[in-house]
Parts: sequence; C-alpha cells; structure tokens
Amino acid sequence: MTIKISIIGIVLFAIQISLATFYNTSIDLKIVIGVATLTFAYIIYKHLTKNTTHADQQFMVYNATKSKR
Amino acid sequence: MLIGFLLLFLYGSRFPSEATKGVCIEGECEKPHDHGELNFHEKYPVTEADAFPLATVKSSANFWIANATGMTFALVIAGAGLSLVLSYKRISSFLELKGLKGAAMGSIIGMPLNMCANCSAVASVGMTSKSGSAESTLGIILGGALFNFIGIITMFTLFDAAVVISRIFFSLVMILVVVPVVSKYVIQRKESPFVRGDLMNSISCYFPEKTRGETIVKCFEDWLILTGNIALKLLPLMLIGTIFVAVFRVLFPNEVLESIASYNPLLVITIVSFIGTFLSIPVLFEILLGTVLLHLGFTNGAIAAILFTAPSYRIFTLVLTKEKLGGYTVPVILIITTFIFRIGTGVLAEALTGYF
Repeated sequence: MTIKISIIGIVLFAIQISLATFYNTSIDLKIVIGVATLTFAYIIYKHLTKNTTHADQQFMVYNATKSKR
Repeated sequence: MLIGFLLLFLYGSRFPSEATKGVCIEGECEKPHDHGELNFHEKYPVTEADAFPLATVKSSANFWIANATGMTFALVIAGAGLSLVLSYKRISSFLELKGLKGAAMGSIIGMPLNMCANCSAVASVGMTSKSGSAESTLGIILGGALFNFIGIITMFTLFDAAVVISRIFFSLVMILVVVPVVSKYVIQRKESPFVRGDLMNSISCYFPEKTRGETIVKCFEDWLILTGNIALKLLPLMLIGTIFVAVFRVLFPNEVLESIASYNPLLVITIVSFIGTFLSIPVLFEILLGTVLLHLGFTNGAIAAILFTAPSYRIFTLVLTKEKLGGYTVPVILIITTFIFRIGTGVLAEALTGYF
C-alpha cells in the first residue's frame, strides 16, 4: 500500500517537473529528470521482483527498534 | 545529495534567473511588453476584457509558470532534506531546536535556499515534517524569503538606505522575536501528517552495515519516495494557494495601487500592506514591484512596506503551513503580525528617510 501511495506521489511529481521543463527548459531540471527516471525505474523493478521484502524489512525493524545514528 | 541538488538549482536556474531579473530591474529588459501587472513575465496576459473566471485561470497559470522551477526544486530539496533528517539523528536534532535557537537555526538553513516564501514553505514543511519544531519550520520560510543576500544587495543599490534598513530590522524582529513567541501556541502532532510511520522506518542510512554502492542507491531511492510523498501532500495545497492568490490579483489590479498614490502616506502604507498580504510573487520580484512604486511617486514608507510584504508570510504560506502549525490560530496570528510589521516597516522607513 505504502509503495502504491509513493508511486502516485512520484507520478504527481513527474507531472510538475514536466510542466516546469515545458515552460522553462534548463539543464538542472533535465538532470533531475534523468536521475528521477533511473531511480523510479529501479523502484518499480525492485517492487515487481519483490526484492524489498527481506533486506529492507530487516532495516525497517532495525530502525523501528533502535535509535538512528 | 541535499547540497548537490541545492547547487544544481542555484547554478542551473536560480542565479541565471536572478541575473535576468537584474536586467529587468535596470530597465533593460528585451521583453518589457511581457511584464504583467505584478511586473513579472506573464505567459498569458490578463486584459480588462477578460471575464472574472478567465482572468483567474490566466492569473493562476501565470503564477504557476513563474514559480514552476522554484516549486519543483522545493519538492526535490524537501525530499533530500527529509531523507537526510530521517537517516541521521544528529541532523534532525538541529531541526528540533525550539525557541530563539530553533528560529535562528531555521533561518540560517533557509537563507541559501534563495526561494520566495511560497517555495521555501514547500521545502521547509517537507524537511520538518517528521519531528522538526514549528520555530525551525517558520525560520526556514522567513529566512529564505527575507534574507536573500542577492536581493538585499540589489535593494541597497536601488532604494534609499532607510527602506532597506527598516526591512532588515523588521525581518530580524519577525524571525527572532515573533516566531519563538507564536510557536508556543502551536499544537504539535505526534505523527507526521506527510509520511506514514512504516514508510519512515524504511528510510535509513545503509552505511556502514552495507557497501557504499548500496548506500548511494538507497539514498536516491529514499529521496524519490519522499519527494513523491511530499508532492502528493503539498501539490494540491499549492494549487489551492495559487487559486486564492489569482482571485485576489484579479480583484485588485494595478489601477488600485495607482489610484492611491496621492493619499496620506500612513494610509498608503496601510493599504499597500493589506494588499501585500494577498499578493504572491516569485523571489526578487518584490524589488521590481518596489521600483514600480518608486516610479509612480510613492514615498519610501510604501516602498519599504511592499518590500517587506511581498516575500513574507501570506495567504499562500498559510494554506501550506496550516497543518504543520496545528490549525488556523498560529497562521492567522502570523498574518496579522506580518500586516502590523509591514506598517511598522513603512513608518520606520519614513522616519529614517533623510538620515542616510
């Protein structure tokens, strides 16, 4: 559920950055689009291959129970 | 990553954009016909023939376009900032400072953002959404909007020193006195209104338990997930704020300002301050607006009031920070205080005129 909400948010962010780039094309926005696209592809890949379950759940437990650095 | 995105924003679009604004301020703009009523370049000019709904839609679009890059980077920086805060306890403790320290620390963090109050509100509310104090939230917003170094230096070259000194004085009082006092009335929520608890726990620093490579990949993943969550929460509010501002801009066109130029100076300052509460313009355009008033023959008081008013806490900021500040009470107190301070800035500027 959380990842689905995050994906909706990322899509909204993608709409905002696309609008910004449409009206004001600048190199910084292009770089952010590139970085965000690669990261989004990785998140989707991880979600679809269910790679999140083991390692990340260990960290979720670790973070929930122990104080962070 | 946070510093990287900030530098990318500053050197990629903010500094070049401020250089362009500098050209406009000096009256050497190549597209002066594009300057709208509030003096920034408007994509869809609002004409007298436009009906109210059409004028509002055009104004909303103009405002959104003018702020598009700033707002986008506000989300990007907020995501990176919140990711850092959630992964590194020592950083989050800076944003949890209360009272004078919290407000001062917030304003120092806000200064390099180089954003208007609206964009810095997005960045600030995002960054402090886990456990940041109200003082640091407001400090970041006001520090970013009122202590833009480029803006202050430009103002010294264009306006009477009395105008700039009174603005700096009231900006300092606002951040160091008003923010700590009003923040005592904020009802802090235990749970972040932006990010769910289970999501927060998944945001972490892998290093040193995992390799540097895995840590870097996780940093980008956390950043995008948080940016998405902040966008989901703030973009609808940003849209509502934009429509509010557009409605007011259509109701009070430039002719209103021109018609009051000959009134009593104190009355002019009060009217300008009131109008400024509902105005919303991109960063540094308050200077352009100030030069418009200068050319229309307004006194230093009115110019100082608009310079303090335009980038400060307003309706748009209220819409964004309402949830973080625990309801309408504190934002409304801030709006009223800002309004009174605007008058104060104007009166002080009038009193200091002639001393410099």
